[in-house]
Amino acid sequence: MVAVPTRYVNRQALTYYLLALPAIVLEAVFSLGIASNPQNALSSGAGAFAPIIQYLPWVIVGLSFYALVAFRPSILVSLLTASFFISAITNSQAGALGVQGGFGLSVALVIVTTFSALIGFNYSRGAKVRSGRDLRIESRGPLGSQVVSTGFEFVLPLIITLAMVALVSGVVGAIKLQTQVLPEPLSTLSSLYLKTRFGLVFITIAVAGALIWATRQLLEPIILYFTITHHDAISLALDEVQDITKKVRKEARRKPSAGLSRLIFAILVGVGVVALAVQTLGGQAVYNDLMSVLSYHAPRPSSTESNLANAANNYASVFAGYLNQGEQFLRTLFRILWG
Amino acid sequence: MASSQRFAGISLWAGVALIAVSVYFFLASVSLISPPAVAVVAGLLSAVIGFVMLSAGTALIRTYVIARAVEQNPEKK
Repeated sequence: MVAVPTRYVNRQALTYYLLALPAIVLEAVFSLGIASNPQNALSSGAGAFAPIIQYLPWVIVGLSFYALVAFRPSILVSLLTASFFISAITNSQAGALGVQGGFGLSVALVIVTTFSALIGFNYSRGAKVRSGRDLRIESRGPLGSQVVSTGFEFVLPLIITLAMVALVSGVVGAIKLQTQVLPEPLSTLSSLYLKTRFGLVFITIAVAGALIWATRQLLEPIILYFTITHHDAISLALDEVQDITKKVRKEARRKPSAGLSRLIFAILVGVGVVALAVQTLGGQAVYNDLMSVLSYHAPRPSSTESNLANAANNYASVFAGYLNQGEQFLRTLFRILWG
Repeated sequence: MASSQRFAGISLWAGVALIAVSVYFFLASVSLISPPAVAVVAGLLSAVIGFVMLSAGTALIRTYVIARAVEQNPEKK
């Protein structure tokens, strides 16, 4: 009988498998959708790569099983993202189980399973650390503490995940509405871009990335405050100081300090810009614009600014007229030449 | 030691102030995008300024936390 290493069958490892399994199931669903609709792969413009695109998702599923067993959840998440991209490219609907609004559901499922796999990352580390060794000490505490602990481990991350999904959906929806307000041709271009799957996926990823970055920025100092030790703090502080010290020494060796001359020059330029603005627009207008920074209302444009804006609009209208005429001429020419 | 603690305290409050200013810029961004202003570019610029302020503020608070942990007696933690 083959002995299975204990790091694959202990409690942490089993928890990790359970948390990472939804990601593999979702990849299999995407792969089934692509395999059951081969004409989509051809019509997606893949050309010679269409057969590869049809079978690539199954290769990804195989690699994902390897990543699962090798305790590499980051590779698993990357493979899940690749599988989702291939499904999005081939316009497959099976990733959403054929329901209406399937693409949005696929995005939500990808985000939830990614977070689930990343939560499992903690347990995979525990499984690797235990790696064949028996636990010497294990404390459980009262039931209330266990419930709170389980809540922090599972429920809180899932709640945060769902909140992130709702927030990302809300922000992407607001962006879609705002593109209609932009001036032409930006409005048409951005609306068309957001209607494509690529555009929607990239915007969703960008918004999700920005939200996660902001959340991390806020949570990191709080978690550091409660967990950092004296030695870790010294090591972090030295890392930051060494990095800055190296840069400053390198810069000082290349060119010595210019003293206060650059600061004085910058102040003079700033004063010059403000003086020019006051002379051109008037003191009251400059004051109103600066005060509007402290309020929520857009500044009222002065007469000079309105005149400049009208002149710019007029030039844009004239130029647009010339472009239209040129386009009409070309259309007529093509109609004559090619019917 | 007293002067380094005072400096670390300034770092914390400066970070909190920067985060408060960043929240203001995020609110201003939403306000500029909403009717009747509907200034999308100004709103985006305000959001970018908010993110920069947030990054600077949290970096200062992180530095304060690390400095405080370094100043502490190693036997306390």
